[in-house]
Amino acid sequence: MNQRRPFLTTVVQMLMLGLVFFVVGFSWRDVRASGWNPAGVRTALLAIPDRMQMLMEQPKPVEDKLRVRETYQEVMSTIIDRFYPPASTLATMVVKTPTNSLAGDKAVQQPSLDRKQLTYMAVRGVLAALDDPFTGFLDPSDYKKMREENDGNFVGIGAQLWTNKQGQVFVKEPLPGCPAIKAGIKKGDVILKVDGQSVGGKDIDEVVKMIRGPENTRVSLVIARGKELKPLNFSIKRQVVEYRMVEHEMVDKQDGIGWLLLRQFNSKADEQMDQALTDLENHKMKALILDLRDNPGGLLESAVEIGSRFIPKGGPVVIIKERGGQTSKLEVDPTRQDHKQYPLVVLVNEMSASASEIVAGAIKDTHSGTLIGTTTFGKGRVQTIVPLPGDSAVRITTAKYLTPDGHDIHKDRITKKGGIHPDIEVKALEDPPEDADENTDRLKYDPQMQKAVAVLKQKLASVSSGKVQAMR
Amino acid sequence: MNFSKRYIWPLAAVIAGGALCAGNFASSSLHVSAARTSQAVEPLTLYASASADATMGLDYDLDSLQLVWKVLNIVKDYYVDEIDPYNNSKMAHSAVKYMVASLGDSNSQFLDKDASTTLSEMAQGRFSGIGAVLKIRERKEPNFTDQQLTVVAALPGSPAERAGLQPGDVIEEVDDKWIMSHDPFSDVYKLSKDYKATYQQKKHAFDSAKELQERSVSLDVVSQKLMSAKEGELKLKVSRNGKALPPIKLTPGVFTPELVQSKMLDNSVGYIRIVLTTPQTPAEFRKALSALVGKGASSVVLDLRNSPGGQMVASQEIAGALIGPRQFAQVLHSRGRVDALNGRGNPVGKVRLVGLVNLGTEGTSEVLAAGLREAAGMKLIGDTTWGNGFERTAFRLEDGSGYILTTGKIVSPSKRDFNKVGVKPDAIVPMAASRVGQAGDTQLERALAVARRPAAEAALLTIPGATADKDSRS
Repeated sequence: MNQRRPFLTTVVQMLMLGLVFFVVGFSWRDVRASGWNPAGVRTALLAIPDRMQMLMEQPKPVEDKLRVRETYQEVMSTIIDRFYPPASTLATMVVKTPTNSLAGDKAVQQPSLDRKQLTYMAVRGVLAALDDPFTGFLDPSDYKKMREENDGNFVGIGAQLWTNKQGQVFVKEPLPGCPAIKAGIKKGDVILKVDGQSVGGKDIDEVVKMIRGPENTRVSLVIARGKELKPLNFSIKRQVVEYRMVEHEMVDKQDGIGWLLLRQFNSKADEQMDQALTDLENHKMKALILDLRDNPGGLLESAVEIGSRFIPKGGPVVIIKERGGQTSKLEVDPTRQDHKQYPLVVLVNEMSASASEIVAGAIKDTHSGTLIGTTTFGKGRVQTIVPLPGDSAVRITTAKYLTPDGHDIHKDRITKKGGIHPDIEVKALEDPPEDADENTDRLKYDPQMQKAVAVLKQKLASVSSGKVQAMR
Repeated sequence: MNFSKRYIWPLAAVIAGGALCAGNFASSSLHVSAARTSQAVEPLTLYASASADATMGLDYDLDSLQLVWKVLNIVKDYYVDEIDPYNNSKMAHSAVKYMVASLGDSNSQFLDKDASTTLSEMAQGRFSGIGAVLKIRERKEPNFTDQQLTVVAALPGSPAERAGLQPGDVIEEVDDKWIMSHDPFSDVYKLSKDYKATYQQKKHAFDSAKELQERSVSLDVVSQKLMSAKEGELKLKVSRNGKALPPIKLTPGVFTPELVQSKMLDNSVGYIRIVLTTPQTPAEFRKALSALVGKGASSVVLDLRNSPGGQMVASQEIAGALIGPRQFAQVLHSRGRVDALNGRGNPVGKVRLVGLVNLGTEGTSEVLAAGLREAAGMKLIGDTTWGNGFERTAFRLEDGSGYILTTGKIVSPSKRDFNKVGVKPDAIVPMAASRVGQAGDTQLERALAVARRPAAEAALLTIPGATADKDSRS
């Protein structure tokens, strides 16, 4: 009895010893590849659980099929080891010039390959093989942009920029409550310099990039304003700015017809819509045009929130059909129905997609309004963003959705059938005049809007003549 | 118990060592690349490097590997349709295609199974299709880079030769389909950012791009068709020096061209033409050269015109028959490695060489021309050559598909780089490439004159009209 305990202890000790050395052996290559710098060694050690998992879940090879991960590794090694970049490719994205010369011989010094970019491309290739245009890889910059759009805010000065006919970048509209307007920037100001750098000849996207920066830093602008002879200097603190998702206006004050444009469905969209509806109501709105033209969609939650404002409670806004066929109904949220119901027209076109189609489809199926315009895009698939290490992500189609009546509106690739057909088809003007000002001529060159106003006037007329029930 | 005391340390050592090895082995199965790649590096064709040593081993990156693995898991767990993302040839091919395309090198490309087969057949000297060696040539345009499908050489006896195709001809349409040599919408993108462009201009650009796209066919598909079709009829629209030629109709087929042609031009001057550089060419070349020497040739006109590149090893053996194991070129490889290219085998006999080159002299044939000029004092007569001295290696994947990478750059022994500019001959004698081997071959006449009179060589090379310092292609 006395001798068994030391024996057991020894066995346990040996097992522990074995485990420790197994781990050392296991991570040996990673640590060695890390080049022995502390950060590398740390990454290598932290990766051990992942590597173990990778090993455990090693998929079984199938005959006649290439193994994707192994093929990637094989090609990557070969490219890194053997590819000789011809001079013409030096400027492309993948090749980076190393700052230190390894060989010491300047004549044969070569650019090295950017392994990360190559891997991103491989991943893009893997996802492209799914033949699904809505599934794709988001590299860190794509992903950041997407998050900004979905969160509905970004860091900047809050001025909507545009290009004028002379090719200059000017402030189309300083957003209310934002740093730009507080600093005294006015509508029509032409931007000459950003942080001392001239913007002459630069693209509007480049100028926006120059103005953007980290929160609470300052950007200096030199501006030409109207008839002022001297350029004006501004120093503006960059702050978090909310995207304006909603625009609204009373298009027919006499009959009380309000117009509400939704650019995209993000987490701020419903809140902004609430404010816009309140403002329209304060201007005695009696009927509403919801403009979803060119709205590419956005968050599913936002579509449900906004859809809940316009369709009767007790039913679903949309039905989600998961992989394997299970369905779940996303019901109308009654707490969103805090505004009156008005006669409603929804404007749609071929660029109204995804979340726009969820809302338009629910309104059509429940007869809550009249759809005017052209057949919508036809995207009946839901994507999920799955974040990856290193600030990248995958956008992947995870489910289908159906309208409340159970229609799959996804456009078929072969028959090209799909999308939501409007109740009244009206095409846009093919060739609007060059000098149309979209603010003053909103109705003039827009036959879809004209039709919407006409339909709503008719509805209002029948409401006043007592045919209320027939309209709803 | 004494047992445990006595054996505990040896036992511990054994366990520790065993565990270390087991751990290392376990993790090694994740690193398939090191062992497998060196096997997969199977030079199919082209200029496969002679020194294909595998210096891999530590070549992987943990983060990248994990990224790929995670993405595959995401597809497995979330994608709307259930698929196997681990063993999926389509995904693997697409990944390789994207990786290789991102290198931004038009000579590096993914090869599907068919393309891979065609390539290895060509390397063996079995040709099908129109019988022309085609290459993509890039031409910069204001808004895009045009990838032109260009004829390097039409092989003797091929449908392409009978139809009169010449080196440098650009194939623009096949069977009334536009070969998509650039994104047809590039003008549209440009216009969309142009504030001066009118709506009509934009609409017109968009409509014509769409029309072009609708009747287009991809470069890959078409080049594969031109190289592998075995029957039917093809209608080509070709342009020469920027001018459109009348439509050409030809019937593709299968054929094995003659690799080497030779004859005596007179009592002391022999003639050898290398038509194609395949693994069988060196033996035929050596046989033909011995025959010429046996018949008393002291000079040989080496005709490298319309001779597209082939395997590097074969051209090393050809050089060997002429200069023995001396260096005639060097290859610059990645990581700063420089390898010498030497002749292989013993020289057949001592002959004076006069070389003939033109635009159809490409790849290994250019290497030979530039190399023999420096190593054997061979004078070159004709036109400036194509200008491709990149070593390209074909790698094969397990399922028979593969990919080509540019793996090095070939320069002459004195490090003269002829890429893009071509090898400039010592005497330029302009002549249409289709007249090679026909009556009125003025380039051959000049070469014969030079070969006959070694003493007057310098004078013959600078006959009026032959301005040697003018680049005929510029």
